[in-house]
Amino acid sequence: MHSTDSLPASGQPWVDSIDSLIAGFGRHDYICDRRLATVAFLSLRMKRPLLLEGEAGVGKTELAKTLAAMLGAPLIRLQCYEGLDIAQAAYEWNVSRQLLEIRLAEASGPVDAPRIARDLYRRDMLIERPLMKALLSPVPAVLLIDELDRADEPFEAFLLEMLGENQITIPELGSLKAVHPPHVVITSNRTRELRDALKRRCLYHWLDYPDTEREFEIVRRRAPEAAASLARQAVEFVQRIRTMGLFKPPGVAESIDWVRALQALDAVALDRERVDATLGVLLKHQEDIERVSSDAPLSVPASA
Amino acid sequence: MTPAPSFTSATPETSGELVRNLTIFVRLLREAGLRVGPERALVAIEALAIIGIEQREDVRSALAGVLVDAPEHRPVFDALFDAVFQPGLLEQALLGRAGDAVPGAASRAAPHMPAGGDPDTDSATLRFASNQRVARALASLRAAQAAAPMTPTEAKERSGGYSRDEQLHTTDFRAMTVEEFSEAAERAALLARHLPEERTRRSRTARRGAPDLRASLRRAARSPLAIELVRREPRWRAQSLVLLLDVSGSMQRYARLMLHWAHALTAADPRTETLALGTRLTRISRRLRHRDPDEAVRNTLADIVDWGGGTRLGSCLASFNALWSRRLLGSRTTVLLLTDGLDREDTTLLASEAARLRRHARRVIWLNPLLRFEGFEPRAAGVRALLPSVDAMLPVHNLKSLEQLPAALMPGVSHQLVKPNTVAPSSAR
Repeated sequence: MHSTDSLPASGQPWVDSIDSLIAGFGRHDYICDRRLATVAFLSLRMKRPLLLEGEAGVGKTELAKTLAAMLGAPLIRLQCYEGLDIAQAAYEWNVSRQLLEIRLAEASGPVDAPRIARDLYRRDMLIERPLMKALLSPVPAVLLIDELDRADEPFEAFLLEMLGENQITIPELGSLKAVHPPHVVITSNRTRELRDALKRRCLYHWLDYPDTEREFEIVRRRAPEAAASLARQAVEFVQRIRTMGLFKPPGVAESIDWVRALQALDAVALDRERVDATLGVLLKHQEDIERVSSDAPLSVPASA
Repeated sequence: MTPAPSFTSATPETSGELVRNLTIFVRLLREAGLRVGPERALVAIEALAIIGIEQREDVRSALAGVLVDAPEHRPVFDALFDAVFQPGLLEQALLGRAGDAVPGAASRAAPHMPAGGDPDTDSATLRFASNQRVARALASLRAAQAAAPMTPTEAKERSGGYSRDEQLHTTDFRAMTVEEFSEAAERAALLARHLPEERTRRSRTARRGAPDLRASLRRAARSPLAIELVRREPRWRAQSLVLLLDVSGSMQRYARLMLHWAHALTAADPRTETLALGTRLTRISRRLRHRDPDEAVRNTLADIVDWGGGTRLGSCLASFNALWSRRLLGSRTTVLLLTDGLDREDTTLLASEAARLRRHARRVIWLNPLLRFEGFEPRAAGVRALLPSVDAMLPVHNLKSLEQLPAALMPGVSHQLVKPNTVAPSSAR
């Protein structure tokens, strides 16, 4: 009672506890453990960005998508890459329109230079990129800043203002402040360490591979067409090879794909032949495939 | 879950205690090596105000979300959390009189901390190293509270006197106790940060250095009134290093310590490559890039299947030459070969492979712990096979010898390095 009443109405009154968040995620086929749910819940409540780190394919991006679907909020995604700059991430002046404006002013008579200069930098001359869009969204959006570790470090510094103050400063216009601050989810594969200044503004969670039971449940939800016994065997197999110290252990996304692939081959149980034929779905490095197909004792558990 | 009435109804006094208790907890985390600023305690309180403090695991997740920002710190956090916030005593630990919870925590923490098992075995040292960090954090806090005005840093300084320092300095790594060893490992890691850089052929604009006439002219063209000389100086960068680490039984203790050293080298420059030589060759550079030293060394050890086993130096060098030398060795690379040179195999292979290695690297420096003996003589066949192909042989059996390494690694001094006088003159380069 206290928390719902005392906090400003967030528009999603039914996410009022960790349990309701888990249930809400579950309705959208996202199975998560209570640790993650606690941190995600706090991030919603405290209006702090959620920083998710973890290996590829453990469901970091999926969490943001699910969150948006659950809240009925628009998902605005910023995929980071090396060389990403403000023009691509936040805003850009619409230069061609500005030029056009000048030509029009020239054509329509004597030019009032100060006025044109003012008119050229109006709000509607901006091309909004994801960050700006999320900030100015008429309803609270979910902003997914995906794979931030791929962007250059200076870009993180730019993000700080946006994440800390919910505003973006445009030199020609001044600061634009969000009316409805977005829920921010940042993901990183940890190919490099993010800056402390950025981490300090976020709530942090390291997403690990799920345990057998949870992964089984996820696979069942995402690939319902596959037989339960096949899914269980496949998940147990995947869990086993993750401990082999492979160059790139398969993620949950790969497990789902693999079960779908096995199902497409009409498998009802794992057998050596089909496993070898489909290992490419699971493993993306030749060394790993060789190791698994030669090393892994393909002991199919009897509990299937 | 219902929100926490017990917390939200807390009187200002008790929430004041909460702030103080969390501040202490944050300080503990810092003592144990996590980078958390004191302001995080306030964020933690905000989080607890939302989720309440009934559910211990929720409190743990919430605090972790606020206070931990790297997966390798999670085990340390969990151990401290278990020590300070005992099941059933959570509320007392959070809302009790400040500090009540913590002094006893170190002793209560004991069951969570396997005390190191058999101190003689090497693996025990390491397996519980992170727990030792936790225990040390708790202990130093307890000491600080016992002697009220003394801060933990002061306590640390006071406990480590000069004479003990000096002794640690010259003790052979092999003769150290578990504690001394872990302290030595930390010191070794510090030493790794002071390796000399090398001069590159590129230069950059600088305050001093040779005048750069072109740039000076360009500047003069822009502002003709103020003529100013632009200067350039050469750039410096970390030397590229490849470490070959003998991990056989006779080398175990030294190799363990050098792993810590290698980890620090890798942290200083991620291009550093490390490979373990035993009965087979294992590349461990990737493991050593993990940020937490104990975790990195633990993972590395798990990777080295032949740790403490036999040595097949020759074949290991052969596979290094075949598989890795083209990828890892450049004309500027220095190879540090850490081994005692005691090899069971046919030494003709060792001699030829060592020579091949020497041809591909800028220089090969042999770090030999056996040099601790005054009258070391290269009698073993393996030693004799290696010696002609190395530029220098240096001791690495205690901190003091590690300290002298940087001087020997100064770029350009390799040819001046004198091998022990037992070396045949023909092999001097």
